[in-house]
Amino acid sequence: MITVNDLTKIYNKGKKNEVYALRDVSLRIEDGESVCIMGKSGSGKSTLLHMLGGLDKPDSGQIFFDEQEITALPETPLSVFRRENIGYVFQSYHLIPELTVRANIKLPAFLADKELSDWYFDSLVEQLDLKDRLSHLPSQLSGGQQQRCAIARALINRPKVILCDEPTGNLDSASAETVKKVLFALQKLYRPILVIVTHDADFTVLADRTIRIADGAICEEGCT
Amino acid sequence: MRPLFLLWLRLLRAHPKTYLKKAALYLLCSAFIIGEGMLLYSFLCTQKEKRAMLYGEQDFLIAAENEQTLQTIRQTYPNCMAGSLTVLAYGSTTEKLSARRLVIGTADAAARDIQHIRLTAGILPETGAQIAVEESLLSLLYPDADLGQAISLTLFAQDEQTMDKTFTLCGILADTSSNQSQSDTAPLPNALVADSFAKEGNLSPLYRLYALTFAGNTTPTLAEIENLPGVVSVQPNDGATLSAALGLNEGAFVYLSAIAMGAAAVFFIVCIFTTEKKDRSEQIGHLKLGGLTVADLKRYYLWSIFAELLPASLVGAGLGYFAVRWFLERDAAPFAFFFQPAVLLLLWCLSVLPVFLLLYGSCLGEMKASVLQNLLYYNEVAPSTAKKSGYTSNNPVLLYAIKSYQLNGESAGSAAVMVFLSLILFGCGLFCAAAFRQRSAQIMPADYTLVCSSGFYDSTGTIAMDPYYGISDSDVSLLGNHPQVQTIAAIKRLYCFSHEDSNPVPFTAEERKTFGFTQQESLTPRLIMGVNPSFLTRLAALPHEGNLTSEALSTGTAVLYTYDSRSETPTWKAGDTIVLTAVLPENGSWRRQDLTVTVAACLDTASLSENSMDALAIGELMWSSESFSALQMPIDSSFLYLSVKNPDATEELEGLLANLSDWYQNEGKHLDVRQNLQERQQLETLANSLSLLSAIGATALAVFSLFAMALHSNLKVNQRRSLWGFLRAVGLQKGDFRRILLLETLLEVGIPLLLGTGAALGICVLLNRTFFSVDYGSLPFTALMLFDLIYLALAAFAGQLPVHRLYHMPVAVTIREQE
Repeated sequence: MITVNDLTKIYNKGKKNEVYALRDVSLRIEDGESVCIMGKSGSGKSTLLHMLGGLDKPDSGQIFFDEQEITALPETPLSVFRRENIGYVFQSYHLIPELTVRANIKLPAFLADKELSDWYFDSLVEQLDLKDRLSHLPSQLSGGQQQRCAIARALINRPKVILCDEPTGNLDSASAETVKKVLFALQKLYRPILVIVTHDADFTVLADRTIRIADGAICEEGCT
Repeated sequence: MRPLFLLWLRLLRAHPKTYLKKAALYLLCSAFIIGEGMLLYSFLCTQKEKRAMLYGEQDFLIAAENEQTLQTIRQTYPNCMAGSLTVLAYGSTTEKLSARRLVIGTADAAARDIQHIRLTAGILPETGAQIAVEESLLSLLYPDADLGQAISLTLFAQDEQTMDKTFTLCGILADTSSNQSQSDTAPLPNALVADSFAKEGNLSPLYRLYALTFAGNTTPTLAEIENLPGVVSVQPNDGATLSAALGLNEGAFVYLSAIAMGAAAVFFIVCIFTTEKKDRSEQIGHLKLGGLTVADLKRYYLWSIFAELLPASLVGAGLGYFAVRWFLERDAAPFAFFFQPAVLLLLWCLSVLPVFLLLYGSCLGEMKASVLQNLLYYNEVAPSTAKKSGYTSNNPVLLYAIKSYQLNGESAGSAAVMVFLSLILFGCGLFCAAAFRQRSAQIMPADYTLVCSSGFYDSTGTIAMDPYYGISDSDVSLLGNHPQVQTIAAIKRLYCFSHEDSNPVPFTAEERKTFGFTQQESLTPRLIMGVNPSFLTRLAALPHEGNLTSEALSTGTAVLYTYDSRSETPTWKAGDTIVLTAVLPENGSWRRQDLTVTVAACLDTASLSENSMDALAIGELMWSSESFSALQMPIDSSFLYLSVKNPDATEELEGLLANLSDWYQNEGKHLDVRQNLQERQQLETLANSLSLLSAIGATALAVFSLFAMALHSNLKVNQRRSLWGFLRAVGLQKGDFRRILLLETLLEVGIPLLLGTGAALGICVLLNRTFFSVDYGSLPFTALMLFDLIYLALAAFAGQLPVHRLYHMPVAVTIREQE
């Protein structure tokens, strides 16, 4: 369970161009829940996602992961926490161009020094339809395939949370449809918390809950 | 062109920092190359001028029969400039007994100009009663002489004409004759008189010399000059060779400057190139999207590179020029400042053209790429070279470091090349210096070596006549008692034969008859060396058996037997008797003299330092020189070794040695005086200079290399900032990141260090085999290892510099840069 209390993030604090990215945001996400965060560009949704994933520090407020406050963690334990609990899917994939699909998927496991079950890896690539692309380089894949590879990589350590930042933003409609389907199918299968930041309204139908953000504050929250 | 200019201006105003960064690099590049080049040019000119002052500017110095020869040369070679020198008489002082003589003559203005014959004080002779003498000769013959003083000389002129003449000393000349002429038969004048002197004394020339110099590339060969009619002898100008042999040429400086200039040029060009590459590729993509054609882009970049490069490089050129001028015009400057506008222009072109060609060439290459490729130059979805690397590992640190090195290795090229060169420079410089020191100590333990001989071997070839042409006992005593001499070892040698079967001399029947040997006698050559008693006293301090005293070895019946227990077993022991046969010249034939000697003492020389002066004088069989007197054998000393009390105060001793040398030459003997002290000092100075220059050069290169390494490390981290952000997002820790960078740095630096160390040692071995042949213990293995370790530590530190800055930024910020 993720609990967010009065989270505030200010960019360029104290300067003329000071911007409130988040204003006293509070929310709660239950285990196994899928949440879709929507809002206009610059509304603060990506900032909220980064805060949830421990990628950035808030100016005030706390984020609890179960009983643990991740906003209070220093850099090293925070990176261990991220490695063990969180999987990321980015809009521009962030695959490592020098590594093959197989190596890219296994990278978080390498970093965590985890023994990887062959069965889990095989089933993951099977479900993501990447079996024939394992020895390819990212540059040899289509956008949809690259994003599926990124999803596999996000799931490889069996994290408790999957954070997706506009996962279909760079994809055509057919590829986006596939990614959506596979993402939710895997969420149903492995039951991590799934938080998706998106402009794509189709996600609201698939997600358990939708949160709308405007000017750094939650303006609407509801179940689908 | 106007819209393109306005576009450039707008972009310039939008990114002033980028422009300033580039301008600073252009400026530094130009300043360094021009500064270094001007230094080198000034040094070369200074050395050339020094050499011209010492050795003259003549291509040849010829002795000719008459004036007609000069006319022939002028007709054959119209570009020839000639100066005439006429030697009228030899002069010796009537006040002091000396073998040194004055070579009195005249030199016309052209000769004085070509050979840099110049006054250090006074005026040139104007009347027949005036004379100008070279400084060193004057101080030897007339130590207290002053201008205006009367000098009385006995003159030896043509047709054995002798006369006494008193001159007035009107000028003191710089010492040039001994440097410019190596001829014993026709030396250059070392004292000048006026032309009227010959007319007044009705003297005809002893010989004429002409100093010839040829303009441009018209210098004929030595053979061509020798074959001209009327030419008696030709001496080419050996200035360059002599100064090179003395280690005083410009080689080391040119070598270091070339390496420094090359390294600096590579460094700056790589910096400029790397700094611009990313921005430029993206900029080309944007400009193409904006509608510029390739032709527009060519014009735009031609203009922008020149507009950015030229002002900065001009300022840099001025900076370099004025810095060198200021440095060399100070009182304590190591050499003089020389300037030629053409040289400055050439250096400026050298600093600008490679940069321009590289940048513009690179622009042209990038213009050929598609817009997408331009825009995605550093984007991770751009076509990757990753296929080249098949490396994989379960260790994420190793995996990423090696992948990264394999794929980005070329960007560390400049640092690698510089560290490679600096290792070679450092290793070879240190080795050459050590080799010079070792040779100086090995070859010349004595400060002076005097070798006196007949100058040729006796026709028999087997019985040397040298002992009978040696240095007399009175001269040995004179030198031994000289206040500037510390120790002396005088060696007399007696060639004789022992009656043994080992290694007998294959005398012919006729030779046996000549020397008085029977046909059955088996004769093995031996050498008895007679030494002065003080030398024997010094040897007595070493471990020995028997009676090693000068008294015991002065009778002509007892010898000291020496051996080296490390390489031989002793042939005799104390108390043994040896029968020897000597062959001595007497009244034009040979006299056989049998000697029966007892081994009074045996000395093991293993403990004697090889680099000591005494080690030079050790022979197998030795006794006191007085033994020869006891046996009535009139043998002189063939070798004399001297060491001095104070290396800085040897003028008197050198004067005495010069007098002796001339004296023996007049006596028909050949006394070779080797100034080992000076040579050793020169070698040591050379070794010290080499060590210093190598260390400075290597340090400068290493600092450049480290700077390049730090720059490269910063650049590669910045270029991959979003990647690091992503890796941090999925769990890469600070320690992992440090390890990745450390491993990358170690790989980038380790390989050139390893190769550089290997190459340096290899070149040292090659140098040793070709030139030095010294002990391989002199190889700078430890120094190179130390250099490697220090460099590695500093490079690792430099490689870690960006870590803190990167970790100071939130992960989200670094990721967003790519989003």
